[in-house]
Amino acid sequence: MILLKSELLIDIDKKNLKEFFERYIFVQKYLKFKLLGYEIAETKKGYHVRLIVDLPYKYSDKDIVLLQLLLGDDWKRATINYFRVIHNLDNWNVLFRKKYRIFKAGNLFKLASKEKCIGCLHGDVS
Amino acid sequence: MAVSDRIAEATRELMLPYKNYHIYLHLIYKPIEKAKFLTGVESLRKFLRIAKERGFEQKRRDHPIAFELILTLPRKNKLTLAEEMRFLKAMREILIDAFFSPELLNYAEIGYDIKYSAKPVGFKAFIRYSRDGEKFYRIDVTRVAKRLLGDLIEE
Repeated sequence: MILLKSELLIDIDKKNLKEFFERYIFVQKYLKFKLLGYEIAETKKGYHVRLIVDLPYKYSDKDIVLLQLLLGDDWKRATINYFRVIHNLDNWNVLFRKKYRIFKAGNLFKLASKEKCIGCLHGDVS
Repeated sequence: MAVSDRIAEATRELMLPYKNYHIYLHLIYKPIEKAKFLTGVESLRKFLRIAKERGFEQKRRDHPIAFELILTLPRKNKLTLAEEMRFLKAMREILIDAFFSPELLNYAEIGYDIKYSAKPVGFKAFIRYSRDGEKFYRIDVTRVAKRLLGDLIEE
């Protein structure tokens, strides 16, 4: 059996995962993908969710952007991702685990945000 | 972290020992924090012109696509804080070496993601930029980055 594995990165900008779970159950029911692994991390504003899924057929990058949006991804991030995809830019899907701001022309770095893992399951994610 | 998460973490360490760091530096826009309209400043255009003259100009509008430095670093062990600081400094050096003005770095942010894999990905570093948001250019800076960060690469 061939696995059509994809990584979905979802940036949730609120401190509540209930809506994400509702969305996930609904979307999964119709699109029938299989969950292989997940990672949920808490951030300052909300949550970062990483899902490794086995898709029923090959999704394009545009489909992945839409799927992430349906699962509750930040709409600004989705717009920028879509922009990157339509301009054929690689490395378009990113969710920062740690972020720094730069001061004094790069001589000083200040930690802006950091993820704290609150749950993970790594199945067949190789 | 719950016990089940620790088990999951240990399983991942066995199955996917490589941590491929994807490090991004974006140039982001800096909004004007306070807008004080004085007598004689009757339009937004005029306000923006004055702000520009005084150096409070919004540096760019299309966050965060117009300028990025992207670096992919394969590692078996997690980066320590000291090592993180080294790559931040190295990214600064690469940019200034390439064409970048140091002051513009004050309008940038650096972040990284880690992708776990069974095999290490190749080390690469490139600058992506656009002046109009339509046409994108790419400069390969892998060699420079390798010179600066060679000892941090665990391929």
